[in-house]
Amino acid sequence: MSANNEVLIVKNLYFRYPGGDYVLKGVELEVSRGEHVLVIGDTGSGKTTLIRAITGLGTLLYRGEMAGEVYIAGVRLDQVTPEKLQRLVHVVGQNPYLFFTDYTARDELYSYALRVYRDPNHAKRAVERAVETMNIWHLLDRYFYELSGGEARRVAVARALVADPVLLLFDEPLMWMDDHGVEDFKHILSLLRKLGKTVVVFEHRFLPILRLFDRVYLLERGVLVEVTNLVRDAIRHAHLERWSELKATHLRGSRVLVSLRGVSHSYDKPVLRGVDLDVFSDELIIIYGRNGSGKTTLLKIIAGYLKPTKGRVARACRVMYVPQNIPLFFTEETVMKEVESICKTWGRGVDCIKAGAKALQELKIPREASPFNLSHGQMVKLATTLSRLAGADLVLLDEPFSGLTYVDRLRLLEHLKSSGVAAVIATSSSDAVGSGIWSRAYELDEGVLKPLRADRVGSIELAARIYEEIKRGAGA
Amino acid sequence: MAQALREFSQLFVYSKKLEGFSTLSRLCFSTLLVASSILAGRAGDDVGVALSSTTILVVGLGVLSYFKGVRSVLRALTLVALFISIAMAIQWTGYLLGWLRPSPMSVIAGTLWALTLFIAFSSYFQLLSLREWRSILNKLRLKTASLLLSLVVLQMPTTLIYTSEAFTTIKLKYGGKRLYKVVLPLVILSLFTARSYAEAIALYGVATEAPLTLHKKRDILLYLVSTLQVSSTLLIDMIV
Repeated sequence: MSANNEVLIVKNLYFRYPGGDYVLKGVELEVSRGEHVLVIGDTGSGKTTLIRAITGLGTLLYRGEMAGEVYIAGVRLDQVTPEKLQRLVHVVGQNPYLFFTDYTARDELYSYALRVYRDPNHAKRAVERAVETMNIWHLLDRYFYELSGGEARRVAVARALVADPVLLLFDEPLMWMDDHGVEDFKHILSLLRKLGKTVVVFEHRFLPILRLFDRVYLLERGVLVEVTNLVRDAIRHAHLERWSELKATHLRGSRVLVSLRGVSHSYDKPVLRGVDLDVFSDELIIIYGRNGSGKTTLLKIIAGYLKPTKGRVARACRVMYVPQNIPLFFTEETVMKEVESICKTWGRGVDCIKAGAKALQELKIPREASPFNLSHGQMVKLATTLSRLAGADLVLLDEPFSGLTYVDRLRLLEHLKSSGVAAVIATSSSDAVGSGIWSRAYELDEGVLKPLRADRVGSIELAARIYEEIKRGAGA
Repeated sequence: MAQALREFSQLFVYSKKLEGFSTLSRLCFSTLLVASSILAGRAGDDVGVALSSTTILVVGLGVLSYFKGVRSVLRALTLVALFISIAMAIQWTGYLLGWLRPSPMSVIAGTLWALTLFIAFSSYFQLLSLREWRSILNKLRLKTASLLLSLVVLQMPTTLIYTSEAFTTIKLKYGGKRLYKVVLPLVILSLFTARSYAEAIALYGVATEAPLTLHKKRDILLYLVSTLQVSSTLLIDMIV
């Protein structure tokens, strides 16, 4: 088998966590040397579990039960030592900040190289090679938490290249990435192709990077199905010339909930400059801007949590804020306790609790479920439902799309449209946010709020249709 | 708040400029700073405590500013200063209303001593790198403690940012009430983060231990500052 060209072979792989049902149910996959493969699938479909199974983490760390065979570069997974494994495969995780075990990129790369090669000269050469390849000389002495998402990802890939592994696995690399980060990742993929590296990317936000892969697979209900041709057909059918779509048609109410006049704000440097905005009842507003463009600051000013350094804010309603790290919104062990707690706090009585229980039924969330175990989409919907129960007229959502598939994005918008609560959504990705559901769309650029140009965004409806067509074609 | 928390977390971050000094000299400096700070709390009356604490603070902040820059040290102290101001305001109000017995001098001395202790203990992380700590703990056969220390210290900047975000969210969710409820989501998020770190460590191990150095040319400077600082603390203790 080692003489073959296959770098990764997965045969009839089954995996389950202790006490749980099987997450992977007979996965089959073969990836050849130098090939770039994309695995798409819903949140919770088992993408991360497949990575854990391929790297042996599933059994080593999670004590899961695994059946089937995994070969990496011809070596059977259960016959490889951890030291050898890190020379064969490298995982770049969802959150690139969470692999740093030292404060600076230089220390991190060098100490990792020393661990791999055990010889200072060899380690130094390996680091220099990786740094040169990724062109990150300027990042070496910066603290890891000062790096942008894209920069941290580049350092993570450089670390992967230090050990010169035969296989690179990326777990949702576009998570929390703005459009610049996406472009950066596309560049990384091109670079890895030039280096002849074998790459498998697991990602549900797949449209911006689709063209960079040789084959595409769909992971659904624990089974992997090749959908390369289905994806090509679906994109052809979707008439991508109509990709740019932003018809703000959703009607708004007449009551002004929040009014901002000439709002400016500064930290070390100006973040917002003279922002004017009226938010009306029932409307859905999207604010697009790059990471660090001041979107979160603007949301916190609308919420009344931050006072602007200049300008006036008039608020005539109750406002809720749903953060990017959505688990921070929840405070109770079960969703029903969340309902009871919010109804009790705002003095909204038994009817509120009954309405909450009914809403949970409609959302198909069991009353005893922990809010922290819900999918990202369910968490966002639960947060908006709780906001409505609290009597809030306006919900501010910071990057709610980052963990959602295209279909889930659309469902969330439909949920918001029917919820009777106005919403302002901040997002840093433009690839699938355009929709007729919005009342208004803005771009925050260099602190200035201006109307978002339709040609800057891709349509959610179209992206969701492509994804559904792929799933239908795959028989999922 | 987020900015203040981010700057506060800088108090636990090591500076590369320190590599001109040996590990031993830096460890000695921090240990003497902590020992003096503890001694300062027993320096006779309130005036003695205030004087000793001020001396140690000046030395500690002077050395840290030399390595990390005056601005970054002062900025990092913003949050500490904020908490101390709140505590002082409460104590003064209590004093004026006759609820509390301590005199204004006791409040000032206590505040300065608390700040001194905080700076002294944080110097262990500002003057020694995480890798050096791992080496020291490993040499003491405390491998698990070394791993735990890495996880805790590395998570600190991100956890502090999460804390600020959690306060914003919960304050709005419960209308300014029940702020204690930030604890559960923060614990859960820290567990998620720890799980990701555990995966990275299980696959690729932790960073290699750093070589521990016993002496370097410039050490004399640190030893001199330490001696001056300990002598002045003892002198104040004897005089007051």
